[in-house]
Formats: sequence, C-alpha cells, structure tokens
Amino acid sequence: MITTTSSDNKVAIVTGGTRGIGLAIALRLAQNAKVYICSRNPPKTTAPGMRWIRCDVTNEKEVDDFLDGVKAHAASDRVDILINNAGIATSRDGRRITIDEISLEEWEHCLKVNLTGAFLLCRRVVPLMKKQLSGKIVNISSASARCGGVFAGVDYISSKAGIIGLTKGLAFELRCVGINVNAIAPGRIDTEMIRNFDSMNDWAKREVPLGRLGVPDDIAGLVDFLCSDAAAYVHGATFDCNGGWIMS
Amino acid sequence: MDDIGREMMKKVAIVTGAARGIGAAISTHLVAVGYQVLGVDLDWGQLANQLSTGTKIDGILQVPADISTQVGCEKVLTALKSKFSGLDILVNNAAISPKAPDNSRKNIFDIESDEWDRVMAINVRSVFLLSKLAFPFLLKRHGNIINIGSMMGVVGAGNEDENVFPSSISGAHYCASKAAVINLTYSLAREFSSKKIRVNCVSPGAVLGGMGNFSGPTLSRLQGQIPLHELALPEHIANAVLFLSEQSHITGHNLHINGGWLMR
Repeated sequence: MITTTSSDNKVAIVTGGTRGIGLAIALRLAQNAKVYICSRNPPKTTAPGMRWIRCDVTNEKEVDDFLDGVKAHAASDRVDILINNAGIATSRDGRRITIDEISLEEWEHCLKVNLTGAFLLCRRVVPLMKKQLSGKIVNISSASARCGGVFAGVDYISSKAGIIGLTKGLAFELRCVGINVNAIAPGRIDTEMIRNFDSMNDWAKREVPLGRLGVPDDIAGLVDFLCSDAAAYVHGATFDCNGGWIMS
Repeated sequence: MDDIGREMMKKVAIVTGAARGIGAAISTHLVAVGYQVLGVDLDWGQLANQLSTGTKIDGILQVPADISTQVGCEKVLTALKSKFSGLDILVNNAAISPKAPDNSRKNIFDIESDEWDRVMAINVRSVFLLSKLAFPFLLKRHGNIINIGSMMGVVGAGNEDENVFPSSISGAHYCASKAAVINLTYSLAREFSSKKIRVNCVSPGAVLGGMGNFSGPTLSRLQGQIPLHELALPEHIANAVLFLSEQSHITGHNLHINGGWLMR
C-alpha cells in the first residue's frame, strides 16, 4: 500500500488505551510513534514506545496533569496524534439496559466518560496542534449512533452520537490549519466490553453480512490510515467498520 | 513455476476510466504495489479488437472498451480471462459528467433524454454489468469491488446561486447516477457478503485534474467553501481505494474524501 505513515517519531495519545480497541490502536501507533496511554487502572500489557499515565478523563485536573506528564516525559510540547477512545457501556443481566433502568447518575457518568472526556482532551490538545500547524484527531464513536443500537442503552448511543457531532464541529472549526479530525464508528468488536452481552457471536453470524464480530485490529488499521499522509484529504468524516451491519 | 504461471498468480485489478484523472492515479498506485492492472477506457484508441496485442504502458494493460454496452463489458472480462486466473479488485471508476458549453452546470431543462440515458449507461449500468460479470473471477480470489461515487450523489446538484451549498457544476443526471452507484454498493455488499466479496464506495468531493476541470473563479470559490481550502488530488482518492481494498471487516461503506466539504 502506498501510504506514508506520518507517525514516525511523533507523540500520540490514546485514551482508554489499556485494553480492547484502545490497546490495539496504541500497539499499532507505537510501531512509529511515542504513545502515551491513559486509563484509571494500569494496563496488563504495554510495548516498547508506550507509556501509561493514570488519568480519569472525566476529571479536568487529571486531564491537565496527564498532558503535563506527556509533555515532561516526551520533553516536547508536541501532540501529533490524539485518539479519543475511552468509553464505557452498561448492560443489564447480559441485555440492553432500557431507559427506565438508567439512573440519572448512570446517564451523566456515561456522557462524562464517553463524550466530555473527548471534549476535555481536545480542548487542551487543539491549541498545541494549531501551534504546530499539524495534527490528527480520531474520535471513536459507534455504529449504534447510526442506527439506535441493538445492545447498547440510550446513554451510550447518545454519547457516541455526540462524538460524531464533536468531530464535525471541530472539523469545521479547524479548517485550513493542517489538522485532520475524523471519527470511526465501529460495529460490534470482540472485546471485554461486549462480552457483558449475551449471544454476540450468534447475533453476528445472523446479522452481520461478513458473518463475524470485528476484532480490535480492524479498528487499529483504520486509525493508522487516518493518521497517515495517505488520508490527508479525509476531514470531518465518520468511517464505518462493521462488517456491513450498517451501511450509511 | 514458469513465467506464465507466475504471471497468472499475480494480483490483478480492473480499473475502468483508467486513461486519465482518478482512474489513472488508481491504476498507477496499484501497479506500484505489484498489481497487474487491466486499464479500461474508451479513449485508449480506436474501438478495434486489440486484445491480443494490448499495449502495456507503465505496467497497465490497456483494454479499449465501451462499457456502456453489454458487449463492451464482456470484452473486458474476456481480456481478463485470456491472461489471468482470477480477479482481486474491480474498480468501477469510469463516468461522464456533461456540462454546458462554457463548462458551467447544465440545468435540467438543458438535459436531453438521450444524454440522461448515456450518463446512466456509463455511470451506473456499467457498474451493474461489470460487477455481475466479474463475480466468478472475484470469487476465485475473495476479491473486492470498489465503486467511485461522488459527494454529489449524496447531496444532489446545486442551483443558479454559486454561493449556496453545494456550488457544484455537476448536472442532475450525474448526481442521480452517483446516488445510484452508492446505493448499488450497499445492495452488492449484501448480496456478495456470503461469498466474502466486499463491496465499498469512495465518494470524492472536488478533485483537481478530475472531471470538473476547475480553474479561475470557480476554483477559488470551491477552495473557499471547503474546510481544508483545497481540492483533492487524484492520489488522495487512489490512497483510499488501496486502503479499502485491504480491509477485511469493511463492506458497504461509502468513504467520503472531500476535505470536510460534506460531513456524513
């Protein structure tokens, strides 16, 4: 493939980078960049070129401290790649949680982790990227935001729809400054998060045209493309990766 | 394995509309990563039976054919079959976008029926015919299809006010044809999925060196409207085609490459 991966010697941040999709993305980017991952709990796996710094993305001070930590360790003001991946989803007894079962506290927590966290990171990182006149932001949304979801509750769906809105708004705001902002809307990807729901594999064989759940590396490959020079003209787009489940 | 055997085992792509612009860029990119490319275009030369002596320029085997017809499409697959055992990628890129004599948008009253039919035959029917005819060859290699759509297929043509979105010079027939290509992508993706043949679409916005032939005030106006303040290059589209061709979990996707001009 003729792409020039622009991630050589760059500084990349992946929120929720300790497991699942986030970890796969971090491992891929670490092949060519210094990657800083964050989460509330330490990772079970890292790789050369990756460093974990504790951060609860819902906490404004922890986000500031995390970015200060990145700056100190990288010995650089640069942030070249920001992947807003941190997210949570709740189930109820292995099934979709219904609106009457979602407490206000659960709703607000979900929105804070999945959407506000992305806002807080973007708010700090965008000025750095503007100074650099370059940067790549990829926000992880969800196919459920396209279709109203099957397994996810309305809290999760709303937060992921918000991610698409944040992506588009930021893409419009950051016109002509050398920063690309895009989103990925994964379908059902085989991670710990979805193993809380029953019968996923049977569902995939029945409902997904390609007959399988996605794997984290399917998303990591997309991120790699979007962070490369090959995708220099992709801006404000939401990329579906769902085995054909949702076509939009 | 002898030379003929090695040749037959190479990865193979068909690219329609390969003589210029986006099609030429896609063809060149595929050749550069080791594909044998059959480049199909009406403009390679006269409509003669040149298959057995197809000229190869820069690694692209030229196949002159009029893909608006069944016979023309069959000619493409005959050319494939004469040299290769299967097909890895079918890129349905060929299209026309008729303009007014001064290169402005044709309004609907200036579009004659035969021109409408010709646009549909080249832009849409060729996708249907080639996808159907190529299927057995794609099956042999779990190949995939990439259709070139257009942002205009999603938003439709503009009107007389050039400052109102979308200030495009594409006519309604071109826009409708590209909407059909996008929708056909979804249908084909579902129908072919059980055989693991993926079908996706790449929808460019405004492309420098593409069909729009943008220059002067039109070019400046478009640049002002597009968030990235520039038009795409054919290479941007080629990069996306190459990328999509390698993704095992993406099918039925319409990838927009438009610099943020339309965000979907």
